[in-house]
Amino acid sequence: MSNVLSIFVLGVSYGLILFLLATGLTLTMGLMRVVNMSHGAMYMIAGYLGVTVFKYTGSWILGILAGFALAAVLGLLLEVGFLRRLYNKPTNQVLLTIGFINIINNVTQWIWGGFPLSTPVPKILNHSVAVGSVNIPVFRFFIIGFGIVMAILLWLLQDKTKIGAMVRAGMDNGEIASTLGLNNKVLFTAVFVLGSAIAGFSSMIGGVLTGLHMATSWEVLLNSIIVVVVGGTGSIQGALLGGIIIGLVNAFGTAYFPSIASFIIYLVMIVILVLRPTGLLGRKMDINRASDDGIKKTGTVSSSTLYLAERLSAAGGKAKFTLTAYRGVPYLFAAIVLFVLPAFMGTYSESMMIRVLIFALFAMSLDVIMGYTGLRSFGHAAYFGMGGYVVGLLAKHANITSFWAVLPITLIICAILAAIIGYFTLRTTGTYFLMVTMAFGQLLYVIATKWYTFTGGTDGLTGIPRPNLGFAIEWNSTKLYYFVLIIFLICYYILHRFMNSSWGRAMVGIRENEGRMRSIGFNTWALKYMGVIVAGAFGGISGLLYAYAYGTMVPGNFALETSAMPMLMVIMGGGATLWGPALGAMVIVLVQNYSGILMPDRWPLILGIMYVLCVMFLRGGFSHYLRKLWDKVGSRVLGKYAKAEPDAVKNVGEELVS
Amino acid sequence: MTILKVENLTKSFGGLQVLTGVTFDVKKGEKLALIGPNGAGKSTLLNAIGGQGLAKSGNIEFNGKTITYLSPNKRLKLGLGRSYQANNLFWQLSILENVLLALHGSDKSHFQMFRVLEKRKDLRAEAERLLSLVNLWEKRHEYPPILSYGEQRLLELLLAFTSKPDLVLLDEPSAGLPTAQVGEFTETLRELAKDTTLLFCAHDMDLVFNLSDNIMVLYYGTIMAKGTPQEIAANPKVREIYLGSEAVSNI
Repeated sequence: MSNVLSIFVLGVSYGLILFLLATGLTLTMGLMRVVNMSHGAMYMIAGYLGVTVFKYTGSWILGILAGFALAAVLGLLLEVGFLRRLYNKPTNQVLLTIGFINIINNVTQWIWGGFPLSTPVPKILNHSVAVGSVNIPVFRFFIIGFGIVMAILLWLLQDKTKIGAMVRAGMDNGEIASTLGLNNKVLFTAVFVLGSAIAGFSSMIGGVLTGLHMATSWEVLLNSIIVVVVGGTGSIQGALLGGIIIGLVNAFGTAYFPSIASFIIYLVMIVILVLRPTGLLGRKMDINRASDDGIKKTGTVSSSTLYLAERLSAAGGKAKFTLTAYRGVPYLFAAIVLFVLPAFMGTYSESMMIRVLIFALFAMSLDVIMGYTGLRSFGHAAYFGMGGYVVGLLAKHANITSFWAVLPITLIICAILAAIIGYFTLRTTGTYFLMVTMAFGQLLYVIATKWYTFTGGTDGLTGIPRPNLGFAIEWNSTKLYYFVLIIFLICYYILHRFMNSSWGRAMVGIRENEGRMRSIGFNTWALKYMGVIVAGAFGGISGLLYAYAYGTMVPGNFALETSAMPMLMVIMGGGATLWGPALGAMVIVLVQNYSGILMPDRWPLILGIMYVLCVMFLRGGFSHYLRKLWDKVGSRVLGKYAKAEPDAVKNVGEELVS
Repeated sequence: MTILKVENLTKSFGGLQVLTGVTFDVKKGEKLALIGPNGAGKSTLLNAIGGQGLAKSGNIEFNGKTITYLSPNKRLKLGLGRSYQANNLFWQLSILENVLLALHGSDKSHFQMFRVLEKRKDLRAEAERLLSLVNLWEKRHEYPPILSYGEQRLLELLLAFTSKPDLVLLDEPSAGLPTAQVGEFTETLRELAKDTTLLFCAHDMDLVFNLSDNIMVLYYGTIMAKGTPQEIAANPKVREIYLGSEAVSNI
């Protein structure tokens, strides 16, 4: 009995810390539709500073205040300096804050050396009380008291003050609230800073339970996101309920089912998602509000070129040939370069190019749902990891190494995985979709880590053999490069056909206007479901190639960082094209490679800065600029025919540019 | 022959009762106009029939099938199209693609994953026919945002007719059009809806009286009157609603 009490106290105290963290998330999400991914990172760095201040001054209170101040300042900086310019661009906001995780983590590591810190407890609270046969640390009761006081204060702020009324009005309908004279900008900043400050304030206290180390940023973020999904967005009560449920489930799970404890909270989330997709106390999310994505909506490539095709085929002969050449040359050129490249490269560059191709395929597969369909998935690593793990597990447990067996098995398993994940995640839209896919990706990470006998745990799978193609082949980096290249090109071709088909066009229609798609007869759910499966299957192939190329799969291949990477590649290269994300993949892999040589410890910082620069300045991605450039070339070349056959192709050049 | 049968439809938003026991029929080929003051529940009624906002209770029967809680895409398959009060287009797709997509929507299968939409000859021919009706074929490669408001309105209308539906719901088809254009717009609409049953709501009385065979008056969620345009024009209660009770007593 006393044991149960001890677990209960632990669960409630942990739940209240989660509540305090989730409050900041839920408020900004409800009010501004912003998911602040760096919320956990702010908590972590505030904790690091707090502990350090405590060490030098000996004052616990000063430590807490230092953490509080740091998080508030960071929140202010992030909101005013960056987020404010990205309202209504949810993808960009997410990537920006992911960038900040990288930056904050790396700076923390730079300053503090990356060691976990032990969080101090003030002397007066640093003892235990005996309850029956077990001792319960007094500090846990202090945390509960602190959490309850904060909950009451926040509830009063929300329900009894003018600011709270403004926040609630803004959540219900931001546009109308702003026409009524509520200054959204100031309100948004205030709420954002409040959320960050609460996280900073709780970090010294909560650090006792959550730990303070480099992984805290992600762990804490993930658990508070699960709390938000369970409790529902936009209300402090929801965060409180969700926090306590998750806290208790976590505590009792760890005590009674230690081997599957970290699995159970995901199970709770999935059950809630099935029964109540908006969370237990959630407001209905207004899905139409955050519509303008960071993805530059370039529409469809075909339209302008189709126009040309019509007019030039009327002109016939040479003009038609030139048009075909104009459209085909970049692809042909790229393919030729990729084929002859090994002649000019050493082993090192070849392995780098292999990495480029693998990540290009990974990013392209994400783009099927992200760029074309407008579904922001933050769990795409699930398929990448699964693809690779299937290859490794087949070799390890079933001794199946034949590529011709492994490929279809991997494809089928990844498609089934996508079908399962899609079934649950497509109940949600927008920001919710992002969070739920994230949790599903993490679920696989947990399984890969914990199921030691099957997956090799944190050590992962090593010694995955090179593909067995059925004939004797002595693998070297050149042959491997060609192997990867051929699969890449086949996948590119299939994806290209998919995305330019009637189905692909319908996916763009969903991105543009899902409601209308339904009223002109499309079952949009089924179309999206197919999109998730296609994206999952091709993501799986990229994982398969990775396993073959590197011979190793580790749980990190499922991790959130792996999911974030292709998102950046899509945004950097330009969504709703296939070659854009491929280009983004190339840039990122190359930068990673060279920064790894020049300053290996600062790669996350550089990556973080790349995230920030990309979302702040690169509107539409590289592909947007390159296409403009190429259209200028086209207008020159094709313009000639306008002179020769003025009626058929008049003004073709101008139309291309426009 | 009755094509649409609405029985005892109720709908409320929170505590606000918007539709109370609405019951009416639409006959095949009929052009039925739905009028009423702002907030009468016209759009709510159309949404309940179109599937954009489901009714709380009651029954909707279309072509002999109950559709009360069916999804919009299934309603379309049964022959029910609709247009919106605000232009609700695919802004980043060309005009041709807008129409092709709508035509594709009434296809049997939506999973043609290798065929290119723009190259489907059957759909293109139909798109040409439809776009020519509204004089937009020449502009087929333009994007909706550069069209004039009137042209956008026509495209909006067209998307509701692409599936050759038996019944089309139109929510304020002429909304926002300058008075000078309404006459021409009405003619185009009449041409498009030649063989189709129409249920439309409108504030523009010229359009209503020009197009409709029958008019139904909705007032705070209940049907107050239904009849031919002449009957409605002569109905004292309708006059009271539209002109205000004082004005009527003055007359």
